[in-house]
Parts: sequence; structure tokens; C-alpha cells
Amino acid sequence: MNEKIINFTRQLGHPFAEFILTLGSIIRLLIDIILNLPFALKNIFLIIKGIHFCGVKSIVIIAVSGWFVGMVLGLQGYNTLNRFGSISVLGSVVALTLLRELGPVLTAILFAARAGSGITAELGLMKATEQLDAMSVMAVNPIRRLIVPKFIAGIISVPLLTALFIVAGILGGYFVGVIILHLDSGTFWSQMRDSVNLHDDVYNGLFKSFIFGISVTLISVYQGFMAKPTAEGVSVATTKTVVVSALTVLALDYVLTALMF
Amino acid sequence: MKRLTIDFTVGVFVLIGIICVAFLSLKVANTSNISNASNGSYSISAAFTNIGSLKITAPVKVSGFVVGRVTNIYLDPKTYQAVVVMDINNAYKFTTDTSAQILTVGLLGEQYVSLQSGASDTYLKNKDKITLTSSALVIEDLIGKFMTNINNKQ
Amino acid sequence: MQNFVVSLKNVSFSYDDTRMILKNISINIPKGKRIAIMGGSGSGKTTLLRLITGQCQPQTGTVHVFNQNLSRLPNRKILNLRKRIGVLFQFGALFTDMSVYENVAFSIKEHTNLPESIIQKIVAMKLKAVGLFGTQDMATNELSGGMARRVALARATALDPELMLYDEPFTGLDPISLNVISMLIKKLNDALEQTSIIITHDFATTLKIVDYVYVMANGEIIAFGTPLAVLNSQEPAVKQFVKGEVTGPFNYEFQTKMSYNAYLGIDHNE
Repeated sequence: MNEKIINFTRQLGHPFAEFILTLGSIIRLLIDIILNLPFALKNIFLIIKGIHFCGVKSIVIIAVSGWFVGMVLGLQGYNTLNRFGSISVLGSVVALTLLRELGPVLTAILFAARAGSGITAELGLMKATEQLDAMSVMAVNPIRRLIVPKFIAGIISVPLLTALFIVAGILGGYFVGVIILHLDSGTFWSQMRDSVNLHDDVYNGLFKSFIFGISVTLISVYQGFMAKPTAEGVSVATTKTVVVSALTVLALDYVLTALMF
Repeated sequence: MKRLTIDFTVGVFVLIGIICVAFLSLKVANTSNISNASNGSYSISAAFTNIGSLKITAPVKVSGFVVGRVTNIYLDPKTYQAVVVMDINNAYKFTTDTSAQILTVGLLGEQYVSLQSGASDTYLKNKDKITLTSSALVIEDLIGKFMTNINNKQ
Repeated sequence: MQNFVVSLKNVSFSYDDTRMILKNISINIPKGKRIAIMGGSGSGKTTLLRLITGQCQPQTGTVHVFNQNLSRLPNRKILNLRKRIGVLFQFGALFTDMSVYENVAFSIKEHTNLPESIIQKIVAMKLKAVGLFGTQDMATNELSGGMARRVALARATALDPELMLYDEPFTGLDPISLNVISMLIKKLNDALEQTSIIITHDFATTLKIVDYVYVMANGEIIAFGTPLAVLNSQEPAVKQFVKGEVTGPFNYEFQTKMSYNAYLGIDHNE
């Protein structure tokens, strides 16, 4: 009986201990990356290749998602605002929602699903096929050669993709509000401009996406680097990247919002 | 894929991103600070007995045209009046007998400061004060007046 | 200390403290020789290789490579040491996102400042040596298994290493590719005067090209000698391994405490 209780308590504590352990090794990886940042500048093309992989290839999914999210915001916003007779503020509702929350958060989650999982799979596969080992016995630090360029590429790509998402969303909202529901185009833009503040809304939103970019890319490279070197291990790591990234982004979003606005 | 193609597509991507950021900064957000206007701005203030829910960055309009923004609001500790500081575009001059009024866009919309020019020969300078002011309309007061009117008639 | 390229003294190693992978191993490898380390699956051969490249540190004992004690070396010096070692991995481990040329040129580009025109010549030379000149622009997934292994060999020898480690170089190859690889190993080894350590369980192919053989089982060395001596060994375990017999000291049945008869309820002692 006594032993059962002890075992039960132990099991309760296990996930927590695991979490602390993971957090510790992620931070260690981050420090390792930061220390190796200067060396990545030696080979700019690796960073460009990284941006091509995680930024360029995500353009379509980000733009299309942004457009539809904006259209939904326009439609829902119209229906709700119509009840209070204030459809004139539709533009600012769409823009503020996208700039402050939906743009950074959804872009980061989509990025994790599209590019983050790809980074994890690539690194995991390289580990499974001994490419990481091969690199380190060739006296090349895989963190310097592989991880840091991907990390920099992710940090550059996410804010740019977020801006694209928001612009596509605003255009989607404009399409629904002005072209379909015949709102006045001038009111749409001027109301938007009146209520959107450059520093509070635009820059804070982009700063958020910068933080999300760091966390999602870090999680992706960590999961790939730590994946079990088997086919199953890689698939598990890929799933983990998406799940952990989504949770982290949502939790961080609350913290950042509380701090900023 | 060829290195040149990758370089090119990444270049296009970064360009799109920068255009989007520029669009958000210039077209979507208000580049509110009139002081950043090409021909500069000057500051005037006005004291109101009630400013309603007027906020910093609210527009200052003349005949509905935006000529400046509210930059600061504070309480005068002697008169217990709210002092509203506004930045006005240098292109527009107002007479010393200009009156200021706080109005609302629509019934429930945002509040703004409306200026009405007078007939004086002298113009307001930087740091000058508008003396003719009328406060914001507060709906509760209106309803209260309306109710007393009805009661009196009965 | 004699002039050994690699020397392991009383090395024990385990990954998780529960199961010993290597138990009290001592190996000395003289300069310019080809040595085979043989053993069944899971006998700790690959771990041995990781110890020599300094990717793992032994719990007890010392590993000397080029007369330097790996456990006492700082990380930077181990990296420098690795530039003198070439490793051929089990399935080549070519970098999948690079072309053949970029693979072979990888360590040259990383560790030297040679101009591109000279690197191109070196790569061409290395590829010619393994009979694959002209494949420079191919992607790694266009190569057959044997070709990939040869490209990996060219990559491993790109910096003219003094010590070559081969991790199961003969696994999963057709008979022709297999003989090509073994011929190339011998040829390169002689031409560059390298020391080679070949980790394998393919007796027939290996015995033709090596000078000495170590046979490992369960993390221990059970036989050492020239190929001929090992081949004719009367030690039962070695004999079983060399001949590939089903019965012998290595039992193919899973070792369990459960009694099969009792499990099925046909215990006749009742």
C-alpha cells in the first residue's frame, strides 16, 4: 500500500520533472545558438536557403488564410455592428483584431504547421540517417552549420509573414465590407486610420510576432535535434512541434498582451 | 533548385514583407503626430468644464476637416477644469476669439474637438489659450433636462 | 608508448549505467595497418567507433588517438583531431540536401580557404578515385546504394585523413558493389598510407583485405589475430561466429526465466 502511494506520487511528479528538464535543455540550446550566431554570418546563403524554405514556401498558405480570416471578420463584424448602427467602424474592428491578436497568433501557428514541422522532420531525418553524426565527425558543429541559419531564417520570416497575413486580412475585410456589403470605402479606411495607432497596434503586433518567431523556430529545431533517430521518432517529434508550438504561442500571447496593452 | 532562383524568390519575399509593413504603417495606422507634418505644428490649449470621454490623439476639426490632434489632457488644480492641449498644423491659423467645442461622431461615436473661427484680427500663437469653450454633451444631463422640461409643462 | 595510431586501454562504457556496452576492452592499432573489428549485432562495435572519434567518453579506461588522451583533451582539440580522421558511415550518410559535388567538397570548404577552382579539381580527383567522375551535379537521391557508398568514401577521404574508420561498409550491397568497395578501401589505404579500422560482420569479404582481426561478443574481445588464425580458431564462440552456425555458445532463443512447459501447463514433474 505504502509503495503504491509512493509510486503514485512519483508518477504525478514525473511529467513536471520532465517539463523542467525540457525547459532547461531548450534554454541550453538557445544559449548555444546565441553563442554561435556570429559564425552563421560567414555563410549567408544558408540563411537565404532557410528563408526560402520557411518563408517563401509559406507565402500562399499565409496569404490565403489571412484573406479568409479577414472576410469572416468583415462578415461577423458587419452583422454585430449593424445591430448598434455603427457599421462605420467595421474597418477599425477588422484592422485592430488582425493587428493585435489574430495576425501574430494565427501566423505563428500556421508557420509551426507549415515550416516548423518541416524543420523538425528535416533535422530528425538527418539524425536518423547519421548525417548529424557525419557532420560532427567531420569536425563541423551541427549547431553552427544547420541550426543557427534555420533559426535566423525563422526569426526573419515570421514577422514578414505576419505583416502579409494582416494585409491580406484587411483586404479580405475590405472585400466583404465594401465590395459585397456596399459600405463606403472612404469610411472604411478613415475609421481604420483614426483608431489604429502606429506604435501601440502595428509595432506591438509585429514585436509579438518576432517573439513568436523565436519560440516556434526554437521549438522546431529542438524537437528535430532531440528526436529519436528512427522513423517513428521523427514522426512523433513533428507532431510535438506543432502541438507544443501552438500551446506556447497561445500562452505567450496572453502574457505579451497583458504586458503591452 | 538553382542558387539564383532561391536568391531571387527570397528577395521577392522580403520585398513583399517590407511592402506589407510599410502599408500597415502608412496606410492603416494614423501617422497621428501632426508635429511630424512637413510644415510643422504649434500647440494651443483650451479649458473645458466637462470633456466627456475625449481621449489623447482625438482629432481636432474645423468644419469637419482634421487640422490637428489632442496631445495632452490634464486637470487644472486651481479651477478644476480639464485642460486639453492640441497640436495644430502650421498651415492653419486661428483668430484669438476662436471657440472650441467637444462634439461626438454620431450618437455613440468618438469625441473630437471642433474649432470655430471668430472675427478678430489677431491670431493664436504657440502655447496660447482658447477662452471660448463649450463642454461635451453628456447624455445623462440631456435626459435630465428633458425630463424636467416635461415635468414643468405638466 | 609505442607508435599506435589508436590505443584503447581497459575501456568500459555504458549509455545508461544498467547495461554495459563495452567491458574492459584493450585494443592497439599500429600505423598503416588495416584492422577489422567483427562481432554480431549489438556487440558494441559502433560504440567503439564513437569512442575513437571522441563523440562518447568511456566510464573507465583511456582512449588514445594519435597518442593523445581523448578524455583529457578540450573540445577544440578533439575537433582538430577529427580533421585527421575519416569516417565512412553504414549507409553513407550523405547530406540529402546537397549535390554530390557539395557533399565531397563539404569538409574542404569548411576547413580550408582554398579557392573554388582548386576545390573543383580536388573533388574531381576524389570522385575519379572511386570511379564516379562525372556525377558532380547529381543529387544524392539519384545514386544507387553502391554509388552512394562510394561518394561517401570520396567525401571521407577528401582531406586525406591519416586514420579511416569504416562502419559496416559492406552492409546492404550487391556482390559486385561489395567487392568494388572492398577493393577501393584497400587501394585508398595503400595509396594514402592510411591506418584503417573496419567494423563489420562480413567475414568472407573482410578477411581478404585486412591484416588483423578482433572478434567481439557481448562487449568483450573474444579473439584476436591474423585472419587465418581467427578462421582456424578452435574457440567455440569464435568458431560459431566465423562459420555462422545456428547452435553453439550464442543461443538464438530468447533468454527468459519463464518455463515454457509450465507456461503451457504441461509440466510433467507433477
